[in-house]
Amino acid sequence: MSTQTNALMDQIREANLTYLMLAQQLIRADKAEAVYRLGISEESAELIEALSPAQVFKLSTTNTLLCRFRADEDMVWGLLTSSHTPNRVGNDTTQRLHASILMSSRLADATT
Amino acid sequence: MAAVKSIVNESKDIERAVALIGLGARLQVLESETRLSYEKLLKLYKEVAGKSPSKGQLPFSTDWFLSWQPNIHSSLFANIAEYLNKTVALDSIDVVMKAYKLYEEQMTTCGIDPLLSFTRAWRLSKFMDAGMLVRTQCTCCGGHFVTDQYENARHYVCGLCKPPARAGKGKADGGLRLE
Repeated sequence: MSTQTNALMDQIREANLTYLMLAQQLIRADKAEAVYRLGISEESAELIEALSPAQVFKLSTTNTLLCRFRADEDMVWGLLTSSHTPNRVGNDTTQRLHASILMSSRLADATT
Repeated sequence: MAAVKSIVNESKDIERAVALIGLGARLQVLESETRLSYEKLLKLYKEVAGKSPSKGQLPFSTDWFLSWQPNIHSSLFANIAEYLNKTVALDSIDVVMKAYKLYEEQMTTCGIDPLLSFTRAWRLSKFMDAGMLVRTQCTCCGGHFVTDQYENARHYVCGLCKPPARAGKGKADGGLRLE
């Protein structure tokens, strides 16, 4: 592996570690809130919560990221980057609100 | 309701009542969600909030949740509550409390006043439990919004995709503005 790929791998591991540690912190503070913030199921939250530091480290050392991009719907993306203007120009705040309503309704819908 | 008098249950109720008062709940909410007596709640309210609870009835109409700006706030709250309802096993009042906290947080990060008070949020969840208000999907953006139960879902467009003529013109501070 080239040094450049190595450096990227290190960064991915770092991001995974940070993500898992933050997730554990959130879940331990308040599970219900964490489930919403992380957009995961209660079962996944329980799994993550139970991970030991060694397991967290092992899980982090891969060549892929463990967290996923959530604003991947066209409409949400457009609203967050202000390139979507339905009918009348809303301001920054209404667009952000609109985006959060869309994301939360998608979240609510994904789990039936 | 108060079949067995248990001190442990009472302490749980007091804890919950204190949390509710902290969120700004009216006395009617406390009466409905805890098994404590009116006198006890009144005392507790004065002790925690430092003032007497506001008097009068709670608003009983669903209209407020359907006007433009409140509808945006209500819809965000309703979606959060719906997600929590589906994913976590919690008492319904706990869902309302947690969802309200998350909603309030979101408002703070957006820099606008949380228009939905806790009592309104609680009321909204009751209306939705009773089926008087439902979540309907907008045909334009695909988001779910609080509507009245007879809304035609095939033609429904939300207030953010197509704001009504007078929307966003208010002068009140902390409100939503449209261009």
